[in-house]
Amino acid sequence: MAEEKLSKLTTIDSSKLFNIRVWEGIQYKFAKDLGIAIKVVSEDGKINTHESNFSDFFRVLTSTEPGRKLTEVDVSKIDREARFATLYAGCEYYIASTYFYGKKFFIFVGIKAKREDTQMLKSLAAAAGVQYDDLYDAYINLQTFPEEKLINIADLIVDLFNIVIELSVQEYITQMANREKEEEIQKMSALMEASIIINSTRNLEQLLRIIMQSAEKVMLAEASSIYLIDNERNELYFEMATGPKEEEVKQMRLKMGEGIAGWVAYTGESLLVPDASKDPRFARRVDEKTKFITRSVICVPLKVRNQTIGVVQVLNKISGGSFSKHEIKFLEALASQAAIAIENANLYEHLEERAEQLNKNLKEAMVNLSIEKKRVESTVQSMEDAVIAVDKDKKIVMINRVAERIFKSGAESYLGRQLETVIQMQEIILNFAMVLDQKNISKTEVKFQMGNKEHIFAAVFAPIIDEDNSAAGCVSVFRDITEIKELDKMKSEFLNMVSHELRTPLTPIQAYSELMLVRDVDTPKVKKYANIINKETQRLGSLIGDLLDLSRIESGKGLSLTLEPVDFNELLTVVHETFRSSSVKHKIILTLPEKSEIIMVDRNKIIQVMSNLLSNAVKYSPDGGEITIKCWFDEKNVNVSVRDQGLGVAPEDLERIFEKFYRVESEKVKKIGGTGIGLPIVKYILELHNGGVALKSELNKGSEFIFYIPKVKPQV
Amino acid sequence: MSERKKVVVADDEPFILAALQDTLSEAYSVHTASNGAEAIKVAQKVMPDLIILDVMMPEMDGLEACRNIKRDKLTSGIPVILLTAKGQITDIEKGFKSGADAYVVKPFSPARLIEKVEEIFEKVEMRKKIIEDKKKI
Repeated sequence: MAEEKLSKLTTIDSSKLFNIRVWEGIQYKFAKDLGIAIKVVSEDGKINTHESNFSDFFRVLTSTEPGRKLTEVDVSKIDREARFATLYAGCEYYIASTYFYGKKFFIFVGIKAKREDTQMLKSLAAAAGVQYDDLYDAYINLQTFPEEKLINIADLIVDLFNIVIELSVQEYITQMANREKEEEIQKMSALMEASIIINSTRNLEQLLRIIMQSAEKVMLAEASSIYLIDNERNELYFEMATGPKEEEVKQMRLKMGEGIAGWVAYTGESLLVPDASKDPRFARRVDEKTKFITRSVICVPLKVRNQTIGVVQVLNKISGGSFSKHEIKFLEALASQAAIAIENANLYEHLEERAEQLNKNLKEAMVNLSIEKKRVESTVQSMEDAVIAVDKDKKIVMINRVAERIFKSGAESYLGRQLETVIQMQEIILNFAMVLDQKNISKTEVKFQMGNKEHIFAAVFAPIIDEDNSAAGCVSVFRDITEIKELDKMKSEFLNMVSHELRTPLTPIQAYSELMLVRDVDTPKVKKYANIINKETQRLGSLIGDLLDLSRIESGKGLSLTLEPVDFNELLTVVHETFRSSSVKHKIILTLPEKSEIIMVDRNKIIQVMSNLLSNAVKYSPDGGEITIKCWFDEKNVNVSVRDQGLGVAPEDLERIFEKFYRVESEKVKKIGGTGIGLPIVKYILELHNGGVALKSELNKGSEFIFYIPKVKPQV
Repeated sequence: MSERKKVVVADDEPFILAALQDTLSEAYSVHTASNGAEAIKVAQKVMPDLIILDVMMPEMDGLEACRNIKRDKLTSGIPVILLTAKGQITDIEKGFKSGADAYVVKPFSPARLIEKVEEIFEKVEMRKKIIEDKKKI
């Protein structure tokens, strides 16, 4: 420390630190109280004390500016060997001297003698611009001292001067120490500030900026920057730069080892460069690029867990000159704070990234979940089945469109409402309650009125089981099986009817054949019996034919036509003959056009059509009456009408009458046998001929089936 | 032998009706009807010993006719045989519920039908005898 102080003192100007005010105060005391004039002049002329008021003469002489100048002493003109010197106006001074830190000080003590020369005084007064008389009077009164006395006093004065100058030095040292302390405190507080900021802010850029600014402020630097190492490219990049060329600097990258920063990054050692231009490590590239002149540099590594991650550098003292060694320590301390900040920020950023990733994952999951939910919802919504889900308190948590349509009476939503307030059917409510209670799936059929029709629903109630195995709710699906039930009923009715229709012709066949076998029957009876058996066999045959046709149509094989030229009048006459005698109650009338036409049709199939229409006409007019067959030709088609006076068909059944297995739901009709396959086959056969069939009918007013077939003439 | 027993037969199918008539007319006096309502009318007129009804007939079916016959005091004592193409248990049940005494499934064998008819007549005779015996006592 002592050495340091000393070295510091050699570098400072001792003339500057000399407390001239104190010394001049002492001089004044000597002059006023003892009449002794003292003047101190340093070897280099920097110190030149004022003799001030040691006499009236001096006061008069220096009252003007030129006069004052006349009292100045030019050290170079002083004879260094002489013991006495005449400074001005013939006044003779004793020359004492002392050294201080290698510098010589002349101490003039006087006066020993004066020269009473009026001419000299006159020209002096003229040069100074003062009254000669005043000057003369003062000069006469000038007190002189004997040489011996003067030398003794001079010894004392030199001692005093040494004391003052020593005190001045001490004072300077104290001042310096104080200033260092202050700087230390300032640095410490900057560090404190940095560490407080580091712990309180997570914004790395802001943090580093504050650190760099406090470094600049404390170190009185022009600019500063932080480089980080890009390990992948083995380069340094500017993480942060302050100072006038901030923006330009930020664009630059340095190779590892390039420049002072590169060297520090490479070696991991701090570096103080007093004059960059003289340092071989200095890279001019940055300066050239940024038009910044780097003079002195302190560069320290940024270390995180002993690994250099970058460097901090501070450039150019504002006051000029170089940075000091102990400023390295400060910057290192600051750098370690910055490193902590970077690490914290990275850590935080890492955490933030993780949090963000988690958040993203969560969002994705949420999106997926909501997609899944939407998918389920839209599936549920688009289902043809009614779906209702309730929570464990039987509050409706989901209800789809179909369910709302079935159960809804008002406009308000059912969602969130208590099940009992929505559904009145006790059976359904009980099922929900039972499933919630027993956690079993329940299946049942429920019937309820929709519009004016009773619908049958297959209902499934399933519990929603929680993770802890308790019932969180219940979901129920209602499927409208009315149509399936109807089809089922139609199917079993069809089977019944088929069985009936087959047994009906079989009954006379079996009865008569057995009668002929077991009884002695006379010839007329045999004929009658055989005729009946024959007719019923035909009937059975056509019925079986219909069934086979139907099964062919059903299986997709379809029917094939065997077209042949058919005389339509002749065909209808044959059919008429066959049916005329089949019923005693009915009168079957055939009306034919005068001139018949020969058309290409499948003869047997057209007979099948006519048989079906005629047997229907007979069957569905149980009270008998006329059945008329009418045929006419137009340009394109042959048209046939079969009309009865029977039960007729209600308007709502008109369309469905050609559907297979469809039979009109009325008591009257039900008592009449029928399979519901005749008319579909009729329609099919006619369409196969590119023709068609239509029904005109009113309930209880008979029916008229009209069909047409395009006239296809046989090729000659 | 007393006079021939009277049987009313009803079926909407003319050939079945004819077959029934031809089967039974050798031994019994047969009266025909083509539906349930007609059968009741004929029965009320001739007071037959037996009525044979087809189940499926227009106007009034066999079951309904049977119920009406059994409900009517005048005709309730007349045994009824139901004749149907339907062989399902539910139909047979329905038949007996309507008060029918026997059930014959179509197609029938004339011999089986006659047996069934005679069986019923025997039962009726036995019942008559029991009643008469009781009266004597």
